[in-house]
Amino acid sequence: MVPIVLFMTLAVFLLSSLVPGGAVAALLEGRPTSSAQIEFLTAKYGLDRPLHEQYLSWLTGMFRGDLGRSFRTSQLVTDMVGERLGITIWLNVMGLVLAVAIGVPLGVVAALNRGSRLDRFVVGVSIFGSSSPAFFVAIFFLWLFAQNLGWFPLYGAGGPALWSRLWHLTLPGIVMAVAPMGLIMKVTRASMLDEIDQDYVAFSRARGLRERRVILGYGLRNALIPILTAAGLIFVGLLTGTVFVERVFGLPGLGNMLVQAVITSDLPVIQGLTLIIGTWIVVANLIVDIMYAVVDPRITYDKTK
Amino acid sequence: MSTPMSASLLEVRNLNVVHRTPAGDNPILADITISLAKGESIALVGESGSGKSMLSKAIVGLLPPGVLAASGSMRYQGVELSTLNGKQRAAYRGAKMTLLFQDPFTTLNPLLKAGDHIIEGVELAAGRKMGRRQGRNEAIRRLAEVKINDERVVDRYPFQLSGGMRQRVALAAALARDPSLLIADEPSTALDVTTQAEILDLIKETQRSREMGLIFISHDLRVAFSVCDRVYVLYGGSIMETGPTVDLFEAPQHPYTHGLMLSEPTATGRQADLYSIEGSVPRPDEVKDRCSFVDRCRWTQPVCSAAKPALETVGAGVETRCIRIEEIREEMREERRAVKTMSDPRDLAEDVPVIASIRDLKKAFDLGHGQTVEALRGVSLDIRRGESIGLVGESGSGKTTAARCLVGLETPTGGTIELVPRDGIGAIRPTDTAARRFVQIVFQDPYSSLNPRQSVGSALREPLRLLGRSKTEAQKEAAGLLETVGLPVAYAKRRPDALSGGERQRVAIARALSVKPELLVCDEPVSALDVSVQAQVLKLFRNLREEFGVSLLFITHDMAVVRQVADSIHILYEGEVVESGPVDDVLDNPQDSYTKRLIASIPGEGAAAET
Amino acid sequence: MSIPESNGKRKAGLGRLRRGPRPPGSVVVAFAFVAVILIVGFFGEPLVREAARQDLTEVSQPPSYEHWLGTDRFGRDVLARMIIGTSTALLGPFLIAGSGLVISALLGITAAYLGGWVDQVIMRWVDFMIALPGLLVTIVVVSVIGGSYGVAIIVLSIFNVQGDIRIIRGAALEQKPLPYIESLQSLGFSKSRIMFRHIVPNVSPLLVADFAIDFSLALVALAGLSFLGLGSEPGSAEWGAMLAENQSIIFSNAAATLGPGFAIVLLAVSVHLIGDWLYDRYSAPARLVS
Repeated sequence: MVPIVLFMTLAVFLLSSLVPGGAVAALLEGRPTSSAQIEFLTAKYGLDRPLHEQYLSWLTGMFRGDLGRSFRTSQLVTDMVGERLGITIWLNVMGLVLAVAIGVPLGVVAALNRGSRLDRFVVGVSIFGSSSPAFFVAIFFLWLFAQNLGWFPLYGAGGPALWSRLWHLTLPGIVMAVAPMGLIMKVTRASMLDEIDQDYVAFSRARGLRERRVILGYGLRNALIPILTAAGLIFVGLLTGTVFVERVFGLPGLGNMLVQAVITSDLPVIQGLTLIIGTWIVVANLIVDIMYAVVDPRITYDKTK
Repeated sequence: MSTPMSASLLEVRNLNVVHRTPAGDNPILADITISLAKGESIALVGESGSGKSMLSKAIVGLLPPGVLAASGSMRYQGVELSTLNGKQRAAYRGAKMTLLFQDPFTTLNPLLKAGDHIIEGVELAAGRKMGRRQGRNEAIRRLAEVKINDERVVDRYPFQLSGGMRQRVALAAALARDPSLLIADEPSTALDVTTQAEILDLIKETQRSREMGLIFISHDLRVAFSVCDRVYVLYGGSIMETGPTVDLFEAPQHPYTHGLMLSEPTATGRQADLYSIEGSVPRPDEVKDRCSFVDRCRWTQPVCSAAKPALETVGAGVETRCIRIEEIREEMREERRAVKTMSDPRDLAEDVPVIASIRDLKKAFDLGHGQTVEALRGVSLDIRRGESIGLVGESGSGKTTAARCLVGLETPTGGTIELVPRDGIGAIRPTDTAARRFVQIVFQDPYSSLNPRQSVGSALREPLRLLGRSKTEAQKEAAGLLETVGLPVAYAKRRPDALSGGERQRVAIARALSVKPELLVCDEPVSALDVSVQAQVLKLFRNLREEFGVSLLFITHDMAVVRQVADSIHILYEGEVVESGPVDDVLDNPQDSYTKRLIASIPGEGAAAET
Repeated sequence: MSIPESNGKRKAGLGRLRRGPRPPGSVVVAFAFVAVILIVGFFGEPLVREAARQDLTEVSQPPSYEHWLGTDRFGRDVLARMIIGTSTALLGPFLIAGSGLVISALLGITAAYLGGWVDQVIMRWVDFMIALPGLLVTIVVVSVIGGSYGVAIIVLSIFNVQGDIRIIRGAALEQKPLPYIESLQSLGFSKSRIMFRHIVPNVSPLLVADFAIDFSLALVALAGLSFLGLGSEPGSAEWGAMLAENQSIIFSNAAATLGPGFAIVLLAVSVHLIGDWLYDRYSAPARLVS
């Protein structure tokens, strides 16, 4: 797992060396320069050292908590991240929570009432949701709920007061949840449909167990594994959604930071964010693995009894 | 026949169950009348499509959506079940009547401990939750009732238990609320022969000690006879015959029961002629307005197709739907006598050459984590030309592994296998290319033995073309193969899903024969087929041997089947041959304790026989 | 265990496709929509080139009789530009999904059937790549290397393939132990013949469904890239880019953003629906009531 993070940061590092003219050209953004300037910048940022030295020094810096400074603003990368982390985390959490809290129950109900109007509605919503690009949902919701209906504020992350912040982040949070919710609904419904056909569900009914027990204890519990797998995919997929949602709503989060850095070839920032993304993936996978073990005893116990 | 109201547990009268579609009602069960008294046990016997499982679901009120009881009555302890609403009906389930399913591997909740299955039922009956200790003790007590005395099982998950254990746990769970009626749907079919006998004994004993009513559903007449007092025979959705077990066993009063009994191979001796019923089992809607058995019955007359016959009483507690029974009774008796003629298995001459020689065959499987499983621990046997050898064992014996090694689908980890083709350059191994024309295999499951997207003809022509035949030659030979296995040539155009199980198995056999092998390995080739069809395929195997001189290695767990097909047998237990010899010697005079146990487990023939 | 003996005289395969039940209304609409898009994509461009030219006298006009979806910042007719962008919208996803189909069929079936180290190597690569957020990485890669449509397609293709490989491999693994495959082995057929003449037809419904889903996802991903200003030529009539451009005039002419946006969603949904339906149709086994 950890190798993934290292690999990613290394890859970005190597890729950046492919940029024509090197990092210096990026720094100067095509402005005409004298060779003296080039030399000066090269020395200042240590860009004349061999690649592996540069990478190593970046790594050691990382362990010390120093991710370098932005090429563009000269701000400490760690500071920049600190400012923006809260917003991004809030968006992701809200997206996930909403998606699961609405998606799972609806998926279950749809499966139990197969063919009904509710079922067809759920299937429709899930197809539209999972096929809709986050940036479009963002624009559409913005237009509909903020501009036209005036239910939510239009742009920005709101004032210093907490409630103002939350208020500004509600609509973006809902937008984040649309696509994941679609996927979770679909997976939950499909998984429950499989479960309902199982012998052990029929046997539990034959023994006269209460319907609620049958659906939750026998049906949903066994259906959880595929749902967990989907949740794991979503953990990671949400990151991508963040980029677009922050962009459309003009929120100062990590996503917007990434886009900015990418457009201006601000390598230290890109590097730092790559590290964060890599860590996020590792943590997410870990959490899902732990949840698997909690839900299914077959995974905890050795396969050979 | 109905029992006096006081002792009556279940009374089903003229029940019709249909599948309601926009196009109309498709019959599944027609005119079912059953009665069961307290403490009595009855068997519902039928092959696939007979509707026996649907009947059990109708009784407990768990019919699938779209299927309903269109007419007729079901009374339980005097209460008419159709007058109950959903909730009331649900209250009956588990508390008054309960259902035990067929497959122990899917009947328990994989995420729930064994003990919890039982405790949740007990708590429901008591109406409140029990303390942990109390619940656990209750679970232990009830597990002991199903002969599980190891307390640790309470905390085990289903995947940690064997099939037999799981079925016992399922039984305890089904009985957790102490119902008065147990419906057991093929409860032992998915288990090993030795375990089967144990479970059957357990069910009988439990029924007796609890004074429950028992409805036992099975496709196997012999099993039904050994467990129940009375039998109902179902076919194509209707009851063909019913009566006390003793009487039915002596003298069946319907051609179908008669044919079924004769089709079931017996383990007591080798029959000179295998009896089989032609044709396949129909769907109920195909035989709506006539006697269900009309298309396959030897004694059919126009009157049988005029309308669906009614159940008539022909003796004390004996009813039949055959309107010609008075006329044909004697003929049926004659047939029964004739079929009982035994013959001796063939004795091969001394100098018949050995065509396959297995010496000290070993195969170990690596499960990872440094663990290995030894499927075969040193098996040796010879197969001579034209010989038919039976390899008998239960699951885990290694019989399938041995078969696969012989055909080259597995490589042994020790020992040798030598194959000696007739016109050969000497001995070859199963993995050599030349072996492909020497030995072929027929598998157990007819439903996955053929490529669903390939027509029958194409499946037969393909190997022929590989051998170098031209297109026209291949077509001719393929047609010939179909004839050999008793299928109409027109089948070449069909896809597998247009064929029945027995027909598909024949196609699989035809395909195996296309390369003209000298040895045919058959891995449980009839276990997945209906009884009335099994005999057809067994006859085919016998013919193949006699007409084409093909040697057979017949793998099965069924002693009766092996008796009818093999000359000599080897009994396999946990990877080793524990006994071998001519089939008559081994089966009539078993020496090894495991062999004795196997034979004793045969329903109706060993210790389990009790009528 | 007895298996139903019923004589189902149903015909399988293509026969079923030709005379099976009608598709549900939603799928019919989906087919119609895709057909329209295809026609527009192939033949639409020359017809509207005129209307798509800049006209600074009619900047940011809301929808009207003359301009059905209004005009954008440069006075260009929005609908006309969308029509021009249709071919791009179809081409990219088609290439990505197509390459996914071919590569996953090859690698997935090979990994499943040959097993051993081939399987291990392929699956290690797949597992690793699947953990990465494809689009995010694409964003980074495209921006560092330099954005263009071709680069975007190649990178997205690389990230798309893994999921398909896993799915196809799974399906092939299900087929592999089945008796009919083992019989073919025992009859002496070569591995490649078994893989491609027998396994492929039996997993083809899955391949089709995968293609449809990949197409939808690729459509959305490419649009996302161009929304951010990466992966397409500036000024081109790519739907995603149009969304980004016209976001600023959302007050005067919302149709300029909503139009291309809905086009993306509707196309993605339609293809998805068609893929699901084809899968159900082709692979549903005959149902027996026993």
